[in-house]
Amino acid sequence: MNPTRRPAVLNRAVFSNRTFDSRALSVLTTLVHRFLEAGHYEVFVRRAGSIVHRTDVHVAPDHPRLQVNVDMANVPESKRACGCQGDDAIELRTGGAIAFYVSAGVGGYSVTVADRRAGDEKTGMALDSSQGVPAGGLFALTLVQPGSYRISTSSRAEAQVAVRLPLREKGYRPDRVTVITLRKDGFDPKSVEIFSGQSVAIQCEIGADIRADLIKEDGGAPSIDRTRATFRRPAPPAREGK
Amino acid sequence: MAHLTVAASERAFKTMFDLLVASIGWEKSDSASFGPFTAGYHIKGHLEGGSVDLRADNTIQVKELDIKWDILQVSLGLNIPEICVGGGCINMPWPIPDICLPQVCVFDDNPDVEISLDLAQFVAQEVSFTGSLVARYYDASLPPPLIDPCDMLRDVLSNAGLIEPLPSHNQWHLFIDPETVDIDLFDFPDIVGDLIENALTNAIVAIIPGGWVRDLILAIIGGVADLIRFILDIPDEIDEWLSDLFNVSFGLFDFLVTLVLDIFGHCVPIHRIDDPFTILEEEVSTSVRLDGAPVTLVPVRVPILNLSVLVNDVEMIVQADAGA
Repeated sequence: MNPTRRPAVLNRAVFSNRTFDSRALSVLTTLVHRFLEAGHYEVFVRRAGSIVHRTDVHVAPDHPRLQVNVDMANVPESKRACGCQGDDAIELRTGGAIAFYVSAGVGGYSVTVADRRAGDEKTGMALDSSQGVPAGGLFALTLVQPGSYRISTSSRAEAQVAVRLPLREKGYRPDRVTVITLRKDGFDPKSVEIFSGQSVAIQCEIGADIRADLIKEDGGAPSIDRTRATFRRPAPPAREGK
Repeated sequence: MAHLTVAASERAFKTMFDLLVASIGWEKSDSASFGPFTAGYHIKGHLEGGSVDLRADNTIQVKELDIKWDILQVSLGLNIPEICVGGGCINMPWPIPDICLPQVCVFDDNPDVEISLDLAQFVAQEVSFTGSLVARYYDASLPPPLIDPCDMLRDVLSNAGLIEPLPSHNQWHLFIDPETVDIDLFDFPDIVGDLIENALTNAIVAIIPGGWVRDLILAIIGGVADLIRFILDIPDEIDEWLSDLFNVSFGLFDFLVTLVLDIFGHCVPIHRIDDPFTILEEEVSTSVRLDGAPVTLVPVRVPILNLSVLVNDVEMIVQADAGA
């Protein structure tokens, strides 16, 4: 028997990420921006403040595509997948969305979307993730490490997410999304439970920067009960005369 | 009436048959892609034992000739599908289009695992056949045929010293030409299925980190056993699937049938008779000529014509005419 294998590198960040921040997007976070108005937009992807990619987005009612996923860690590959390679603009139907996510690496990404018709950068800015998720935006977290997570905003809204390992769960699928709504009065619901590898999507009715932290690790698989026998060496016989 | 008649008893024929069987061996390897998995084999085998029965109807029955596998190696390579977390769609109120979250994958590429097992000790096969003896003339002056099914086999066997190469002179070749061949199908026992499943499971588990990460990945792929069955498209038992792979997909059952037909019927004769046949070898006489040189007696060779061979239930009879 001679088992061999072609090495496939483990995406370690998937299993080690414990903190998530909408202002610094990392692996397992997704920021969805919807393009409600037709027009030409300019998208900049930044990492640690430096621009790592720029692309145009053309939004029009006659474009067929309703959603494009842009991997900020590999934008060229994402553009190849959507058929808009190189300098070609991403074409999107009016009302369609781009899901910005990070597939690998340590993260620290931010994204800006600006309407090119606007006179200045500030008025034309449709999205600046470094400032938080705008009202109407959607921020999703895929939580992998089992445990308890606290989701919080700068406005002190809080929610709890319990993440359990899907041990002995028939029909477990990672592609299940639990939706939480962020309103002025906080998160609704305030507590949810999901299985490891599934996602929580936060629909923001108000603008917010959102942070999630693993506050209590789960031990993972339950400990196996083992019957243990203890052997004690008999004490040596006492010496005579003592 | 034939000029020459030679008979060999059934026992002598069995000795010739044993020598023939001892000279037979084969080796073959190949691999094929079946989409999500690749499978390959490397086989090396020979024949042993068997009983020979000369029958009154001019046929020979060979029974229970063992196919012995020196190597019966199967290799399986699995292309494990992407293992990803996340994804899924969010239903949005009409007319807002639904949002589907991207997935993030656990490995940078589809991991592949490969195992290789030698199953020679688990397979026992027998071949039996009935045929008649056929005499064919080998004319060394003729060019070899463009397509000779025996060419490669004969080279392999003669290079291994198992048979003599084709001679530079003419010969009569006697073959046992099989008419009906019965060969056991490849039939792997249950234990082989377990071995393969364990080897694949170990290979897959080895690429997955331990602890809760392994628990999660195994939950995503739905368990290793189910994943293996899904990738290999195994409806029932692995051993049955493997037997089918060898018999049908690899075509090794047909290979064995063709091998037996070719070896016995066309490639390796059970007996060779030189033409002309040497009755008396060249001999240096003890007599000397007047000049003192030794007298050399030239060999006596008889051309063999119209050679025919038949069997009855006690012996093999070869008849021929002596040419001028």
